[in-house]
Amino acid sequence: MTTALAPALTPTHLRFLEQLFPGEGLVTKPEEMAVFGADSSRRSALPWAVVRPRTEDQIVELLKWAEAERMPLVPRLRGTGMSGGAVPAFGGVVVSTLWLNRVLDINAGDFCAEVEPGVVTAEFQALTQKQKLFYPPDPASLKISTLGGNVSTCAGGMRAVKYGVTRDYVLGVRAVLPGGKICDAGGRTHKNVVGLDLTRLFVGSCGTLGIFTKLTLKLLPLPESSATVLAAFPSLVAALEGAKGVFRAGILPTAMEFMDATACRGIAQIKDVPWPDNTQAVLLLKVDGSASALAEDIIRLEQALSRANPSCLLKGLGPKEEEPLWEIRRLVSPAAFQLGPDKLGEDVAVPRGKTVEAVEGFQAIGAENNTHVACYGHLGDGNIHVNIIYDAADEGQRTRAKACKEAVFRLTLSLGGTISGEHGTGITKAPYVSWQLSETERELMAGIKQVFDPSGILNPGKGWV
Amino acid sequence: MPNVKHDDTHDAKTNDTFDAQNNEDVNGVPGAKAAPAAASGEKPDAASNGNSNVASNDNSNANHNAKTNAKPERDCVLCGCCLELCPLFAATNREELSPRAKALLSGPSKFTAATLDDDAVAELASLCLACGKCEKLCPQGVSVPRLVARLRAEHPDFRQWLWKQWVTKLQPCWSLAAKGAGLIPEALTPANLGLALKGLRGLRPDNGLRPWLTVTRFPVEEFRQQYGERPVVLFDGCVGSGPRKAWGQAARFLLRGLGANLAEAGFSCCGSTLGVAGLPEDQLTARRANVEAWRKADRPLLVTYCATCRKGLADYAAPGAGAGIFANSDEEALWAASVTPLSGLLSGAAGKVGRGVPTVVGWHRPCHAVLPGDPGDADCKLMSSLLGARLRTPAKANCCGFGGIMQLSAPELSTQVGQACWNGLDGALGFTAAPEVVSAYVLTGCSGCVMQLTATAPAGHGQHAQVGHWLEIVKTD
Repeated sequence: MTTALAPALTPTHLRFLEQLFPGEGLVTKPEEMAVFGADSSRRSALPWAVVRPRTEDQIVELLKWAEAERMPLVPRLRGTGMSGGAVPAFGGVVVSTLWLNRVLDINAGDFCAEVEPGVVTAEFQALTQKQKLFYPPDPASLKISTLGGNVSTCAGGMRAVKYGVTRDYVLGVRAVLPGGKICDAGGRTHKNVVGLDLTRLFVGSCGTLGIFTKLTLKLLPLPESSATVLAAFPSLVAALEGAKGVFRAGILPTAMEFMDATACRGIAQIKDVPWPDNTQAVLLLKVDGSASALAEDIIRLEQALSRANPSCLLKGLGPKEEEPLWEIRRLVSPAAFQLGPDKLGEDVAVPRGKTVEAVEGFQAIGAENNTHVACYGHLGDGNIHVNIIYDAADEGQRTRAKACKEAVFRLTLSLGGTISGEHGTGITKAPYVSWQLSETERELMAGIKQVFDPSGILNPGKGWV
Repeated sequence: MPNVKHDDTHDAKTNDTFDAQNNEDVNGVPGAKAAPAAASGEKPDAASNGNSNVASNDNSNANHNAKTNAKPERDCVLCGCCLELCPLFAATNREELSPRAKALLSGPSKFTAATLDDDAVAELASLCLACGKCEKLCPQGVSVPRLVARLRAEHPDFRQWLWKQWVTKLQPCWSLAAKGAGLIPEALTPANLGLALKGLRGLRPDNGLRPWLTVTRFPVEEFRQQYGERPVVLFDGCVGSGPRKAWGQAARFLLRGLGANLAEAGFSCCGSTLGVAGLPEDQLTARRANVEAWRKADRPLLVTYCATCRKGLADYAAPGAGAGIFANSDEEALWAASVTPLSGLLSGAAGKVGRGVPTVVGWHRPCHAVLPGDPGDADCKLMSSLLGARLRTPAKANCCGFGGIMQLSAPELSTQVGQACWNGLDGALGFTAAPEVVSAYVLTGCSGCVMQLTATAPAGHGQHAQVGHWLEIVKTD
């Protein structure tokens, strides 16, 4: 960054914005702006102004002006991110692209779709399903978050073990860059090796490289049905042995979730659970495919798990039978609060083969610090949600919780893992990025950022600082 | 800061909402409280940034709660689950109108990153339709409509006064008002009253639907077994006792058909929209008067045919309803058990359609149709059993945008939501695609919805939309 950013909005700046964004397109009252300064990380800062473009042309004009004025811009969709990526913590004008919310095309021949960034993910999925097409990424927030937000954070989900994450379904990104140039990265083809992969750079870039105006997404044929198996084990090792057995049997599940003893104990406090008292871990697996193949798959799945001697095994064929099993899984997060009023929710990921070591290590960290640490999450892909449960009113507990969090990060990194598998670093994890990335990588990233955004006006202070 | 213990009801709610949203990754969502340190616990970072102007929302709510003298609610954690169904947010895509914005501005842990003007906060936050959809989704149990009602009460203005006149004084002569509204030329209508007057005009008695459904079988035996000779009174509400007396007549005809031991009681407004408008004292007065009328009638079965009236009456027995409404908890429980929708009593009825029946009939589900513990929308169930495939319901139950005082305070937003609702109905009925075959004919079960859908009905296509309460199609001769 060579030139200093504008320190505030001047009356001249405001006049420009008023002209470019007439009527409700410009928000300047603090009361109205407040929500645009917050997100699900529960951090907040007041934007200098909020603009709502209706067209790409307005975004082009905005970015020409912002570049000339060194005006910081913070792109925003629905603000459901977990790490403060959308919070204007360092000042600036928030750019809400929620009014760009059209589904432009869903093409069953090309197996691709073109959408504007403000389309809600679940609503898009419902539209694709009408044409027997499938957009697999399923972040927990899919009913309330947008495709644009999912792409800028590279949102994950439970289906990642089989289908991958958002990144794997973005074929192209159209974005306006600082200065007003339009970058058309990628396209409608499923293969494309001409030049460097700019599309992938945009995915997960947290609004630091450009403002999206169109996304081209890859679609799959919609699987006919699905089936689910729940298995409880008397030890963590047995559970993970069971999971390995599934892969060894040549089965690639759609989802493979696990819950450790602490998580199971939390659930047992709010619901009658099917597993015995001595349960140390529960596995929950889903497979999808044609109805006829599933009947066979579920038997194979049962056999593979049986070798690890589960103390209880339940199965469901088709959504109706599966639902009660997944309901248990969805209770994990609320159940964690049975053990304490506050929690830090981390989302580390480790190489898949290191999951046992990681979970055992996290549990030991909890025991050493006399703090409840519940582990659960996406076992299949090594992404573990570590909930550190404490009472924020108690300073000792608060200190211990932070110590736990940092110990979890250190252990994760020592195992070759990452401090964030899904949520991104935003502002809450920014100070820890240097624990994971060396100066060389950070310099390369800064160099790339410099090429896209030479003045550093886009979402300053976020990502990999 | 509020430290609210989990109770059983609350856990049940948390579970329900988590069913709906599959949201394990939301940090700290369903907590027993939102803590300042939950944010600061994750804050080695912000502290290390010298030039950061980031603020954690601390819960400096002690004063706020002392001021409102209200039971502290669990705090909003900004998870955004409420964004899924808010009709105002869906119709406008303006985040400042979302429930999350309202909770952030006026909840116990208010936005602290800047000093905000109390009046401006109240003005913005009161742009709420009080449909209650967000409340059902919230894992924290935050009730935005309640927050909004409180804010409106703390910041009274002329619109509340106007609404009160509307509901309490005009009520006996709404028929006249409706007729009068029709006589006022559009150009002379005060801007903010346009939508409300249009709704009233739609209620003119001669604007009602022509009946075409003959009830051929009443579930007399079922009714007798359940209620025997217990007296039954009908709660007509403002519209049914005013401009649309036909609803009350049809409802009484149906109750007689059931063999009910029909009595009468002198009820007033249910108080529902008064409370939402920030007039808690007027609401309490209405509530006390209605319970007294019920008591005088020997505590009969209390039958309703307007979804919002029913919710309004059921809320008398909700926590925090107000002191001195009931003599004791037995009376309160009896009231709660007595408030019954008319359609539920008619379950099992049979009918046949006569001349004038439209090819397809749209069903608009009022936001208040399904109360906690209800198996579903009883009105819709009855209509669909009587009309079969003729009845079409939009996949998504959209709010009509009525919102009581919102009709006066922000008619343009109310209209925008109404238009989105009509788009949904059009999708289910197809009157725009095939106007010669299908008409925009819509039934519902709430007087507010009838007014609002009438006021926002799409014009053109060589026809005008027809909207009415389902009671209007029932032949009573």
